[in-house]
Amino acid sequence: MKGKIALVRYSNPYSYRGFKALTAEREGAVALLIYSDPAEDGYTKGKVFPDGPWGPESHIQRGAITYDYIVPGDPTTPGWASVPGARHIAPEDARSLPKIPALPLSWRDAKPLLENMNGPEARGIGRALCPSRIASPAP
Amino acid sequence: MFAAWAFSFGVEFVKRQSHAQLFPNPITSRKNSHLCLEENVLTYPTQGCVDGLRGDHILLAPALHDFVRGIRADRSRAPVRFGKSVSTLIRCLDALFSSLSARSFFVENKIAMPLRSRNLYAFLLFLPRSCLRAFGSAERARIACFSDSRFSPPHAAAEHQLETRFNRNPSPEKAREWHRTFTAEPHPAASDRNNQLADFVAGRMAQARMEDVTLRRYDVLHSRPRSISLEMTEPVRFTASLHEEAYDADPDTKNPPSPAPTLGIPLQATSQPKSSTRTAAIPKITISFGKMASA
Repeated sequence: MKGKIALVRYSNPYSYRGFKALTAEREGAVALLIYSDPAEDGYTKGKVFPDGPWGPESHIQRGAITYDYIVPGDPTTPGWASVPGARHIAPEDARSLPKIPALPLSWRDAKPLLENMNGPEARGIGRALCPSRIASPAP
Repeated sequence: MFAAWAFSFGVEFVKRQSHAQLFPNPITSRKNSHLCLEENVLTYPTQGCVDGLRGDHILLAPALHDFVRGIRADRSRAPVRFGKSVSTLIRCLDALFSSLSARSFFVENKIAMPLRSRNLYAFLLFLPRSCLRAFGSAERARIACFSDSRFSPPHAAAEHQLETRFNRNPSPEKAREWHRTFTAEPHPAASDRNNQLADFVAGRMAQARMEDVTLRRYDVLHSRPRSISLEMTEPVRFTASLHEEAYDADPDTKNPPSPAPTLGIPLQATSQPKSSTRTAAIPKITISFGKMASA
């Protein structure tokens, strides 16, 4: 996993995305992409919105990846409340600060990535190296 | 009959069984959560459970599949077999309590009250019985209630009555209306919309004549990226839209687009606004279903 971008499903039954993020970080991934798979909450399950309750191809599941199972709330105030004037520890000492970016993807955005991947567990579509880029331009 | 089970185990740390007797230095989540993590047990954040500031409380959520094995959904009192997750839970609590007996804790809190593991085991002896009782009456009471040793059939009946009253209260129309209000716009922490909603909820609570409705301000560390993009450069060029379609059935989907949704952004990515692009040189993307795999 070292130096790679991990692309994972949200997964059903539910498993906390924040734990996926920590796992990816621990395994040495540089970024995490979590996508909504139609097999879990989309057209495979039934009619999609607005004709039914399931997620359309472009739906994006939002949430946080807070490592709140390590420190709840503000990572720089472990064990006390972040009220105005509270003591803050240095970010370097904060156990629950994420080290890699995590992004949610719709099935529509995840599909092209999946189709262009190789790797032992990709969906049988073997292709050459697939460099990707996470960019956040300055204002 | 039961679609889902949830099992969390709450432990509150108090000097005496009263909130007036809290330890001055909270002990949860400073060093204890990772002990549980090592046992693959996630913990829930529950600090501030007394008034938003005070309270020292940890919720442990062990794997459930193995815990509920043997429990039937029908009325028969099938014997409950406790599996691996319970022994994990015991190890977890033991780790927690051992860390409590660490000298520093007693020094910090200026107390001399050694907690020993044997107290914990005495406590856990009570657990299986209360679980059994709770699950036995789950169909009637539909609640597993662990409170001291006072969980009894009359209490279950009273609890059931109260819950029935509450359940009769909300209407589907009202639920739809609230849901619409809350989901009309994204409202991540520290956004304007988040504050609007907080004011709105506080207003409704005050209207309902709830006591002591106060909006408390927290100065939290929060990373908010200015923009987010995802591109694949090879073997084909692809830029993810990171955008959801709009639908007539839900007019709010047509609202002006807000920043792309994110799950988490590391602090260093937002604290270095001068670097124009953070590019990770990635040789390969790896897909994994259920377990991590490397390509």
